[in-house]
Amino acid sequence: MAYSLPKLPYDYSALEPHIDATTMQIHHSKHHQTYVTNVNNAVQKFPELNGLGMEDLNSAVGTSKIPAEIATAVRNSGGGHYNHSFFWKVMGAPGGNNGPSAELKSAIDSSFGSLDELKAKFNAAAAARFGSGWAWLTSQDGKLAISSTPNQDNPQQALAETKGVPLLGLDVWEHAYYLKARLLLSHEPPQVSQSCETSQPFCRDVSQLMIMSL
Amino acid sequence: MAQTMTQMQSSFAGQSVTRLSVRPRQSAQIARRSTPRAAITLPNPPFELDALEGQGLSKATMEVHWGKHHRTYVDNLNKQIEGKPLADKSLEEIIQATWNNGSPSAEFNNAAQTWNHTFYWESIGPNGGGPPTGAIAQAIDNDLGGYEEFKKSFTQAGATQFGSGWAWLVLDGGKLKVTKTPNAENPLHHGQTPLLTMDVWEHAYYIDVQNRRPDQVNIKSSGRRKLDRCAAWRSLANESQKRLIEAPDWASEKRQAHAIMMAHIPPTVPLPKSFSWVESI
Ligand SMILES: [Fe+2]
Ligand SMILES: [Fe+2]
Repeated sequence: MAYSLPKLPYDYSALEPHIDATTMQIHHSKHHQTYVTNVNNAVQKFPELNGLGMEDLNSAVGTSKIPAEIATAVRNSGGGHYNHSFFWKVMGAPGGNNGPSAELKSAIDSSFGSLDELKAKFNAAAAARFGSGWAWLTSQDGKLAISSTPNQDNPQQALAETKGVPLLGLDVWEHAYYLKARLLLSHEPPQVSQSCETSQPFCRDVSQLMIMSL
Repeated sequence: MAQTMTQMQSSFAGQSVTRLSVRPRQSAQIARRSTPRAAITLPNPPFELDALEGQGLSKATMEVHWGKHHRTYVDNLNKQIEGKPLADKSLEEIIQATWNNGSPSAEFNNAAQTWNHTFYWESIGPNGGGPPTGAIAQAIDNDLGGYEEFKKSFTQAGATQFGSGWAWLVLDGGKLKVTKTPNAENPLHHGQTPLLTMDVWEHAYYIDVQNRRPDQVNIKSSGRRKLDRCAAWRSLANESQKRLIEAPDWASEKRQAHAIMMAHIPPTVPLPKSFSWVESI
């Protein structure tokens, strides 16, 4: 059974003005679709992987369960499919709900001091990721942690430095914000740049969208 | 068409050093005398920012890429090395020192990206494109199976560098090779001499071709054949081609010219006439 591109739980324009509809459309229908196509191409040669869910496939990345011949393709494209499917789910329309539940709120307070502290640390992790990658909030053994991964790696994969169940994931590949950043920056003096610095307004905006959805 | 060493040197730095007419050896002495070295500076591309519009590289991309990305790497590097022993080293020495045999220190990314972008502007140009001629063409035939094969493997290298990075044509142990590197890594600290590069960070092409990265590198059907249309073979032309073949240390001369150029650019490089950040978008 092949993996397929999930429908977005909202319209391409639902996250305006934080993420523009064009970016959402290319991101979902082109970038994410390419990961789906490529992971299917990789696993179809190996019937033993047939029927493995996206989470199990990602948990197997970095172990001998994935044949060496497709290890890189599964890590990259399997990771890309998992990450993007998750990303669409953890964002929501601005004003869509009331923030973290009481239980999560108290876990956040005890791990980070406050929601604002979490946001600051999360955005810092996103900004410090050089090149392409993701910032994560994870839960492992009842503890919350913030981390980042390169490229399409994720905390589910056995090779991740910080493993855990993702609660938030923020895409800081340039494709996630570049069209929007260019629009934003046209109204600012040329001072910020470089993937991470350019992404900071995006990180602030988007982590807001995500945290409201927790 | 013979290109002199002095002209070559000028083309490395763009307009700001076009009047620099010292011989490399003399300027090397000047560079040695003038310590501490001036801050690392942002060189202008050797062409106007809109010069490649017809070749698939928009002015908007050049403005963001050179005016913001490249500039930020330079500024951040200067901030990082200020007051440290690294500040007295050349850019290449900083790259080698901070690469630290594969455990790079914090300055490495900014130093290597400063170098990579300067080299990228040299690798493309309004008079570039088409198959190379002369000695470089001969070397491509001998080592890479001809220009068509080279284009295929260079495009493949750029398209398959997952995440951010660079595609390269390098000289490695006297032979041409096509390679790719992730993020800021470059061939220098792998003991290779870069000859041509293509930036495959998404910021290099996203405004122009969005997710279609192969269009950034080379694809015939798209009409945006960067390599075909922009590759600055002429910066590798004639005199330099002979050196490439005849003198194995040609590459180090090119690197030396770079170092000299870096040491002589005044700290504030004027923006080229076509730079109009706010108005243009
Ligand atoms: Fe993405
Ligand atoms: Fe770049």
